[in-house]
Amino acid sequence: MTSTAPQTPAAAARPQSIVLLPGEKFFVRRIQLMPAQDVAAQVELALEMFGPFAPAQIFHGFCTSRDGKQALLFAAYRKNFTSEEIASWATADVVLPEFAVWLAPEVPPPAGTWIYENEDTISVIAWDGGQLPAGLLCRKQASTSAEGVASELQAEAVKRFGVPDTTSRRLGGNPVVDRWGKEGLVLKLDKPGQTMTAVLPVAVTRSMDVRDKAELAGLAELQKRSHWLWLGFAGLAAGVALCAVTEIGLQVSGKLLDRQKLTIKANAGSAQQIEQANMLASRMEQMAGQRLKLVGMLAALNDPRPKSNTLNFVRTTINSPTQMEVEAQASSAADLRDYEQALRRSPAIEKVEVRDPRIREGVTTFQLSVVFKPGFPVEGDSK
Amino acid sequence: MKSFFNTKTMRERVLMTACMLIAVVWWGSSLLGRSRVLQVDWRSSNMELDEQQNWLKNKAQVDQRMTKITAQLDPKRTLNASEAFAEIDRLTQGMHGEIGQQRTERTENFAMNNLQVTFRRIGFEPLLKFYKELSLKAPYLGIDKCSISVDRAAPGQINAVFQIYSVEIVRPSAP
Repeated sequence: MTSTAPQTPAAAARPQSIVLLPGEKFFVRRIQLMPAQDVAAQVELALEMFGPFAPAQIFHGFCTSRDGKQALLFAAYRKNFTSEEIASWATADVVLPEFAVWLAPEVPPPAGTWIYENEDTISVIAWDGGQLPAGLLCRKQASTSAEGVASELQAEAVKRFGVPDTTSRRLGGNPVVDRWGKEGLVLKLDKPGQTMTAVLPVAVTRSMDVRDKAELAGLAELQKRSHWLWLGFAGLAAGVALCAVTEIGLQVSGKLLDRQKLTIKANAGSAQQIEQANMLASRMEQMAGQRLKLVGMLAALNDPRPKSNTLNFVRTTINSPTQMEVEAQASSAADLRDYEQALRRSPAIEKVEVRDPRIREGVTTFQLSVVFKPGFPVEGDSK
Repeated sequence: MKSFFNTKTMRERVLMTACMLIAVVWWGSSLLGRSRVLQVDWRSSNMELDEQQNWLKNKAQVDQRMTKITAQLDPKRTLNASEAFAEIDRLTQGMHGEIGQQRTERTENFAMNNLQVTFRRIGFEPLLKFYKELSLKAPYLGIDKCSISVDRAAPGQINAVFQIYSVEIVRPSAP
């Protein structure tokens, strides 16, 4: 007999579930754990020592006590389960015996026994004051009465586990899964009035899974892959959502830009007129204030020339009333040097720059860039 | 969505994830390109708008300057494009000058006409005479730019190009 967690219709679609197996199919043994050693390895070693079958022929799991000093191991012969039953566990999240409901009491019960009666099965849970039961005994009631079977089991428990011959609780109903999530597995009895509830942490619940450990490892790997795949899918779905939001943003931004461009286009004519008027006003002010004095400029450049008449202007370009470019040639580099020095001393000239001086076949060519001081040049001083 | 995803087979889940990946890469790269273009467009448009708003904001100031300048000019002495052309032609009589490349920049109140005068192989004296006569017309007619160069083939002769402007009052400012 197996039972699964009660599920909502949405959750029922999921392949995950908790499978509770009948307790009477399991051999149970409590062992002391060596500190700081792998629990699973110690359990497997214990199974080899105490187990009724070879490890390959059994399904097993274990539950550690809260203080980590003890473990209750349980094992069942594989042939106790049909191949259909075993196949149905493939989609289960955890497969564990139904007596897991007794394995996580909040406070260790006092030494004695609990008697649990369910349909045709009687179980005795033997407590010796530890966090885990000292032992579990299950038996189907055949022709004898429930009380008779319970008395026999209790006597056996007293004898085998050395627990006092007192029964502190009588329990009934089916163990069912109340919740299964990040907080762990919550089991309870479905009989009204029963206060038995067990909360098993996730790690403990996983260790209680009785399925083949190699298959479990494969299943865990598959689940891990599925989890990563889901994370990838969710991340990409979020990316698509982000793209959609960005797309909307771009469309809105594009519309706003179009509107702004229309405004610019509407005002372009007026703005251009004002800009042109400003430019013309500047030019007019400049021309009214200082007209281009060609003769004055030429005179200002001519006066410092060497008296030997060995320096000649080839080309003069004037682009503003205060600036001119001159292309000239001299018969020697010394003339250029003297001329540049003379220009720098001129009271009318603010800046002189000689560019690209070259000597070819004894003739020095160069370019001059001259900037006049404010108020210069003055006309009427040409010679 | 997670429960829906997990009900699918591994192959379906991988296919769904792959489709989603393609969608994100395709759409994302398209968005990236378009957003860059839009960003450049916005920057350019904002600059243009700022500049335009600046000009529109300064309209009163520019108008004031224009009115002030126009008020300083004698409308009777200003020359329109044809008058400037005729006047330059008169000043260059006998100098074999070429007059061309006329261009006019116009505002609400006045216009500035530009023309180019070119002299080839001319002596310095006639050029000086032209300059002096032109100077008498300032500021209604004047030199904007000029270039003078020695003619290497004809010693003592020069080539000169003058950019000349004339001011024209289109609508006299109100007194």
